[in-house]
Amino acid sequence: MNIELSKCAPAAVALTGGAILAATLFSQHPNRIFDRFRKLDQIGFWIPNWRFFAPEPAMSDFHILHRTLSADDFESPWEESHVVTPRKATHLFWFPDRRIDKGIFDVASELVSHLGAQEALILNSPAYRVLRSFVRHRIQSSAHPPLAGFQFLLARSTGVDTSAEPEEILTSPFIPWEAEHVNDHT
Amino acid sequence: MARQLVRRFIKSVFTPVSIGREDALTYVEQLAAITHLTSSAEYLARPKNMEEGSLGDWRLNRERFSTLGAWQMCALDTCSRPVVTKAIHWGRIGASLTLLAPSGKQARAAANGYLALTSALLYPRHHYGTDGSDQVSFQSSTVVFVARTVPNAKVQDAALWYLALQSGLAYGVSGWVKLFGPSWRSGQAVPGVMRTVTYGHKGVWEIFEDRPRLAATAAHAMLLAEGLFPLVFFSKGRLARPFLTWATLFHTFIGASMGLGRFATSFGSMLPAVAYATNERAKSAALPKAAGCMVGGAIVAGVVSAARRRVRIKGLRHSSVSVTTSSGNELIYTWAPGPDDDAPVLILEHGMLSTPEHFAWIVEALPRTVRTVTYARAGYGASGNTTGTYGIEESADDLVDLINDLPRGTGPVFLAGHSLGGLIVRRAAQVCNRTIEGIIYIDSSHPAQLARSSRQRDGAVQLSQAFQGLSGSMRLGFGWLLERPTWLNSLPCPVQDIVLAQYRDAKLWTAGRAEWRSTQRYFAQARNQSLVAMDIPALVISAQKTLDADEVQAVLHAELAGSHRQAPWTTEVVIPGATHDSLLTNSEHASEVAEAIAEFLEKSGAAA
Repeated sequence: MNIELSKCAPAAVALTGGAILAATLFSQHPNRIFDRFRKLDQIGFWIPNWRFFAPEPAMSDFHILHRTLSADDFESPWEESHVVTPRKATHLFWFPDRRIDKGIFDVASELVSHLGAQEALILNSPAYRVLRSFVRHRIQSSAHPPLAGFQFLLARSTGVDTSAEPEEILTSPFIPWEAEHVNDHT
Repeated sequence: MARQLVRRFIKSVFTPVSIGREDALTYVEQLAAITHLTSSAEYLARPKNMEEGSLGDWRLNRERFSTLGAWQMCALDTCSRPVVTKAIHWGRIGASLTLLAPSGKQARAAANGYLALTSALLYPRHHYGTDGSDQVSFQSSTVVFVARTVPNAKVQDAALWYLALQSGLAYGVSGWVKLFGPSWRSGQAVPGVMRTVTYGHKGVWEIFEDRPRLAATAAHAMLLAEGLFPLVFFSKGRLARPFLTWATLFHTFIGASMGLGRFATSFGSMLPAVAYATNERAKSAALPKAAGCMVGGAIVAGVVSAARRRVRIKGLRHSSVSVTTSSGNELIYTWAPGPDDDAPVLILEHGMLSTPEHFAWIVEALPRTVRTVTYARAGYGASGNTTGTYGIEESADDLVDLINDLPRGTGPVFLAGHSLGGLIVRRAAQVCNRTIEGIIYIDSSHPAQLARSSRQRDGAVQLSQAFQGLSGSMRLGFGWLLERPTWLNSLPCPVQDIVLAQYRDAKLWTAGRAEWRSTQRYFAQARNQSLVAMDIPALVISAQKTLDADEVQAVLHAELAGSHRQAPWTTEVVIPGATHDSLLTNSEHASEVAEAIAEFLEKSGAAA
């Protein structure tokens, strides 16, 4: 049995590794329309994506803002639902807030990629629903009067370079508070 | 003396890294363990990010993975319960510490296996917020798990070679793909990234902001180092030290300035494998040979499949009619059966980057009293383009030749064009010596659309960018890598395969690119010209979403209809809920289009 294993295992590892390497190589085209193999990877984990910051890097920050409408018709001003963590030297070793900052970046990027699609598709996309729930819980976690509903906004800015105006990307429809509580779980 | 010192220094720089198999495995697993340890500790430090209402709310995120099998979903559901996720993370911290402390080989194998397995199980759960360091540390832990589970020198060599080649791919791909980005080529990418709060650093941005040459130099130096990294495998180890030193410094800088500390240890975990794979120690090279064979085999398979697709597309000739136009192009067209020879004939002109089969729903929904003709423009599908020109005028002339090729005694001729096809049929109707009874514009282009619509101009820029490298890649035989487009599933089943074959065929993209260039020139020339009035009845069909997305489109479509006002029965129809493409690909929208066409033909046909 051991003799068999010693003969087969190196070949099996070489063939499997070779196949994954070949699939990885053929999944790195600058144009993502060529990502046929990657589509087979439903989790998006087995075939590495080495196109970091390429062909075009992220040169903008995304911002999520929300405003609420109270039960007695008072509309609050827009406020940021999440503020990206400013850089610190310690981030080289320890940066627990990176996950949520990156999460906001991922969810916003996904929504931007849906922008040309039909409204119903955007509103039912996982990214939109996750963001809607995220904003709702952010509002819920702060003290507020009884609410009729809320609205959120996705915007893009050039970060510390303030020479350009932030750009509004997507504004949600008005979301009734009670209905949203139900939608969260459907 | 100084010369000797310089010589010794240069020699030491270009000497392969003498690292043994076991040491390489240990360094790989320990650097990966530091990444896993930091990652899990960071997750546990922010437990709210796993709960309801966070970006990691599994009840919402699980939809994304609903196509996975039942047992996979069951495993993910279990691991994604907040209490289980936290327990797994504590376990990952324990496993990482096991690898960082002196421990037995079996314990190390188990720890690596646990880290690899839990990385895979938690990746969907933490979907929003994962990054490249998670992928790399998974690769490293998996490789060492295999190497430690099967303690065979050849297996361990294969495992280390695999990781080393993935590292070479990581840097090489990152460098080469950046070359396709205008901001990397110009150097704007460095200050562009550094100005962001998410990934940047204000201090670094201030250094580069007013120094474009320095920014360009930094960007190009990075591209050069990344792009040339794979040379390390062709230098007998002599370039290992310079490249590994660069990579270490690079990741430390990136980690500090961009907040990507975990990238330093995760990518660092692949470097001992590179050092081992490239040094002069005797080792098995089975994996690089297998990988080379598979890449070569895949390229051959790609070329063969491209040839088979071409044969399949050319096979369309057998069931079609061909006509050689006065320009020398050969058009292949298909007649749908009609009840009588003198039944009205509807010739359907497809849009850019499209196929005649896109009209399948409309053809199916039209009444049998109409004979339809679908054909591929010169250069598309089975039709040949011998002239090398793809302009609207040339295509219209070809269409006129096709109309004249129809048997004598055929019924009244109507022309319908979708998108760019609308402009072609309009032009053909103007120059055709045979009477055209009516024109149907299906969400048609307009000669002045780029001049008058900023949205169309933005779309044109995006389309031009999309074509860059695309048609070249298709000609190189990359068509088999094109993913199956989702819209294809909306077309009738019998045509899906042939449409997919054309979609993955280089000819479609070559023709599309050439046509787009000609069309841009046409738009530039026609920007200030008003539409010539025509006395042919017209039906202008618009997709509601097209009009909703760009108010200029409503004006342009109204102008198209207005240019036919002299003729009776000119009608405008808006298909509710339809998009530009769904007018053809959605069976319900296509039925509504067919209904509008049938009504129009009935009115015009009565007059004829």
